[in-house]
Amino acid sequence: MEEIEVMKRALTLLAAVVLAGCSGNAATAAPTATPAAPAATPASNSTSVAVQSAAAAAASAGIESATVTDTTDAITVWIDQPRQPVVDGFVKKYPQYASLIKSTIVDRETLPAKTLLFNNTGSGWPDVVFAEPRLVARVSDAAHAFPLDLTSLVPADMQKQYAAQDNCTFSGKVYCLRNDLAQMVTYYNAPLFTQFGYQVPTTFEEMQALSDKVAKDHPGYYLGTLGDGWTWLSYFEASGCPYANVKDVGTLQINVSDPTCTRAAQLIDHMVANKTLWNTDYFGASWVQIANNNKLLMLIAPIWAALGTFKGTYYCPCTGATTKTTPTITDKFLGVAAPLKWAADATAQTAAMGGSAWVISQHTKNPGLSLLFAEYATQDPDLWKGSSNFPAFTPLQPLFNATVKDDPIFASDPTAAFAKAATEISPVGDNWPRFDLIAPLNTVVKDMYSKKQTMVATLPEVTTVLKPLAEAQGYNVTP
Amino acid sequence: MTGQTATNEKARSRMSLRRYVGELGIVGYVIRLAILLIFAIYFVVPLVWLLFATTRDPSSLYGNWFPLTFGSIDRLVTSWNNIIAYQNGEMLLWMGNSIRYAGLSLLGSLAICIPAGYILAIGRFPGRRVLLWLTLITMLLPVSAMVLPMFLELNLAHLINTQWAVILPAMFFPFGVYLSYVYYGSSLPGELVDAARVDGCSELRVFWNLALPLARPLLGLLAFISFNANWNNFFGPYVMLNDDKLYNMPVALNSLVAATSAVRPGFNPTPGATSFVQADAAMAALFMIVPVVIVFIFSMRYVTRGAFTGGIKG
Amino acid sequence: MRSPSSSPSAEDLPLATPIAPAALPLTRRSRLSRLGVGWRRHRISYLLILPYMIFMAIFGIGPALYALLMSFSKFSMGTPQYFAAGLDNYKLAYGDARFFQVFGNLLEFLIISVPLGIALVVLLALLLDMRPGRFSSTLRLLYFIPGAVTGPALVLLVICIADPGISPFGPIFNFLGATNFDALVFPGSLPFVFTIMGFFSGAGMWIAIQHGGLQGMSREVLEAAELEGCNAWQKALYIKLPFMRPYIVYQTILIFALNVQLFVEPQLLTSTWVQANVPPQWAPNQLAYSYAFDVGNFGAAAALSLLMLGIGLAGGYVLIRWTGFFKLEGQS
Repeated sequence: MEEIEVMKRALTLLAAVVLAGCSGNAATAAPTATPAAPAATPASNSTSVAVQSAAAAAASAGIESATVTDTTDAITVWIDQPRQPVVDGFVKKYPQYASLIKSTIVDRETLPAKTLLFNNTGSGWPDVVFAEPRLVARVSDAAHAFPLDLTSLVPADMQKQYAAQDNCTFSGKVYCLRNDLAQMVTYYNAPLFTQFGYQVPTTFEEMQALSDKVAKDHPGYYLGTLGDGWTWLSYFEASGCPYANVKDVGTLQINVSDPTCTRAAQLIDHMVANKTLWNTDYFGASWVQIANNNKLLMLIAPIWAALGTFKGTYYCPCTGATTKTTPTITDKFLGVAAPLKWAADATAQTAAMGGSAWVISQHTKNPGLSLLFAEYATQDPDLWKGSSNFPAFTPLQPLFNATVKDDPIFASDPTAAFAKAATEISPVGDNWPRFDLIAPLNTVVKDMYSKKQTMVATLPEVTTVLKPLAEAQGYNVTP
Repeated sequence: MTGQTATNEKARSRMSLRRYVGELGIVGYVIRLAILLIFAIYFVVPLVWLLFATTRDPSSLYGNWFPLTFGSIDRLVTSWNNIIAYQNGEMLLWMGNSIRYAGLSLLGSLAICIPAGYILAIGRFPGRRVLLWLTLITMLLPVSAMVLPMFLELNLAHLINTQWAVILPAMFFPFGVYLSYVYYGSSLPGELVDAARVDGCSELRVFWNLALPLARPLLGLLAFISFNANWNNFFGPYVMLNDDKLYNMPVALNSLVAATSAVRPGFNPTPGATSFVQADAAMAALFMIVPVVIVFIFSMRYVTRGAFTGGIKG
Repeated sequence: MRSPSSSPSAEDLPLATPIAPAALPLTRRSRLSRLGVGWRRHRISYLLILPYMIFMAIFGIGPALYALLMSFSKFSMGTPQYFAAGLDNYKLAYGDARFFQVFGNLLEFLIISVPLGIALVVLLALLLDMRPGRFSSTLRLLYFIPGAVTGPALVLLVICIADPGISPFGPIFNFLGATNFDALVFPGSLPFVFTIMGFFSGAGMWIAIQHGGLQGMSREVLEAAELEGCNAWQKALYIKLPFMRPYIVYQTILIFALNVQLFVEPQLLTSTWVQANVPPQWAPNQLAYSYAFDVGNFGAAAALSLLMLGIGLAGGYVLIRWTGFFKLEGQS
């Protein structure tokens, strides 16, 4: 009988062990990774004129002007895979510092967690990290206290040349240097607009009117999609809704009853009702199918979507599901317009989905070299030549324009719209709070659909999900 | 009583089908078969689907009404190459890391759990029960509370961001100790141990000559569960390692899926980079699953055989 | 669980001896002291258990005690100010709007997963055991293989299987009216989703165990039943099932303890690459993790973890007392 006893008990515990190993011990960091439009893989298709003018413009601002006084302390740079050329380029351009640069490929979502652990051990911080401003926000509170204040280290006129630097400014302190931007613009299907005789809207009111026309004359065509936190932001940030407005380091405004919020919600409800708004995020299979079937009339989406999503997923040849494929990537289908604005507003605002930055640790032993690296990464024309990412450093924008404007996917030159959008990134959503917004907003959007209610009725949920997260972070939540 | 199991198995095995159906009744037989097959579908189909998914393009995945069609060898090869080549061929490095971490932890666990379980089972020393209760408590304590202290400890030893930060904590395996404890508690007849002692064997001798040889089935079980738990260890490597060259499979898989378009075709913030699709994600998942399945299949046979025949002769 | 022929063992004797205590001429202790090896024996015992004690101190009890200390410490600066928080961390956890939500979610999950898991495992084990043979063993192996799928691989599988557009069960989902992933995975369905996922991954193991347990049944009892005219169903219900009772109890307690610590699956479902309609902190373990790594308040994380430990132990204790479980574990 003994061995039976053994077997029974052994296998019982075996199960227990296996299950313990399976469920208890694994964990991951919770929140979102935004797509960061990364730096260039150098290509040689931009005009040398553009390069020269960019270089000249940059030179006049004194690019990469950080002085390195310490030539013995090495620095550790945390990058992701697409950023490897940045490190290689720096080492090539500054061979005297080659031995001082140590780079590691790291999943940057771990930065907040790792910072806390390093704070407790008193060592181990990386010196320079490639991370989005929302991650920088999460490590800039008292408990993390990671970033170095760059306000006095970077000359004021150089700082002015970075677009959307407000995202990197927290309580008046500059905590990072923007690398690239991912502002949202208005994409539209140019041939279809011509064919249907529609005008590209410039205001949200015009878009609503257009939606009625489309619903009546051409049902089955879509002017946008709403399915997750990012697509939610594309409407609400564009309206200036204070859903999570960081007023200062200790105060967060959450007021979804503000008219700027209700007007966006009403627009959404209107378009859901007349079936011109689809219900997934940008990558949902059903939405991709709509795009492949040439039913995508208009979409508010980030700048990298043009060459990253329209090319190859929405337009064909494509990897997505296809029944009939009509829009192609070489026949000038994609029109780009500046962000829409509300008629009552003075200027347009737009959201941004991604766009990254370089942040320097306040524990760095070699701030000069760290700063030089960050400046190189964001300012060097040769590095950015041929990149299809929108540089935050304004003198480099001609390079981007040169790369992009001749791409056959565009119906006409998109660079003006891109540039205008870069200046219109919303100040409300500008400063990310110290907690992740996208995951809770996902649940709000999906709840709206699953409970089959209007966005106006669902807005209070935003407060319900965001308030505990804010209070846990030490914010005082005000309406 | 010894060898009862083997007898049972043989004696109960081959009832004739006719008599069996007669015993259950036709309805009963059909119901039993239906339930068993429905669950077989539940357990098996997702994995079969995963295998097929590596061969199918997204258009095939969304387009075909029958979910278990085979796509193309081309897609399979592409997926394979994509995964192998990801980040300059790091997938094989990660696989190697996983094997190394799981293997070394396994050796340590065996060395610790077998003697510990043995002495907890047969020893009489102060603190024995306390240790058993402490084992239970450490199994129940959520990991979020333990991270910081463990990180501090490993940092003192300068082991953070090294493989030892993953391997050493994994050697602490309370379930393994329980398993060993119960195994020896049930399988080691008291009179055998006492006889050995009376014969003048020292305690260590008893362990070496008696308990260890008996441990074969236990070794198989322990090795197998330890390997599975350590292979799938996510949290340890995620927290303790920065350098992605040190990642193991679960962390690497999470990182791959988060950073690429693998489950979100069209998510390509790096225009120009390799576009991943579901087939690639499925291939990556298979990289993580298949080694364990292989270990499973071998272990099951070894475990079943060993445990059933037992180590006690006469 | 003890078959009729094995003898009861006294609580003090850790060995399961087939000899009735009365038959033992001398107690072990007196025999041993007669040999005069008392203290020396203890030294060797400690030697054998030393590695485990070291590792337990470093990776088990040490961190647990430090966690206790942390729960009374303030972490507003990211590093601990010991004993500065008093009960504040516990109050913070308790006062959090998510506190009752997460424990409510956990309760729902436990109520569904534990009974259902046990019932289905027992059902399948019994059905398989009705006719031992190649068919049964093959099925058992097939049920077992998904045990290799955990963590990210499991979530990856789920987001494909639960997407009616590509899932092999797509036609069924469409028939039931669910046309996209969010129709299947939403806050109300999460207890079921996690139960299904957990069962997929873990059931095979438990079935193998129950099977192993059933192998210990004595042939005579079954034959006697057959002679009395029991058919296979009755045998299963009235003879095998009671025989399995202790292992069912054991399984219940272990599954309860493990499910209390649910973490990976909800955490990964919230992450970017899934973006499911799952609250960012659904299970208590996630809330503790969030305190630790989102806010940097390791003290609150420790406080909540200790609360969870208390609940786990309390629940375990209740189960153990109610089922008389420790009475079976004579040697524990």
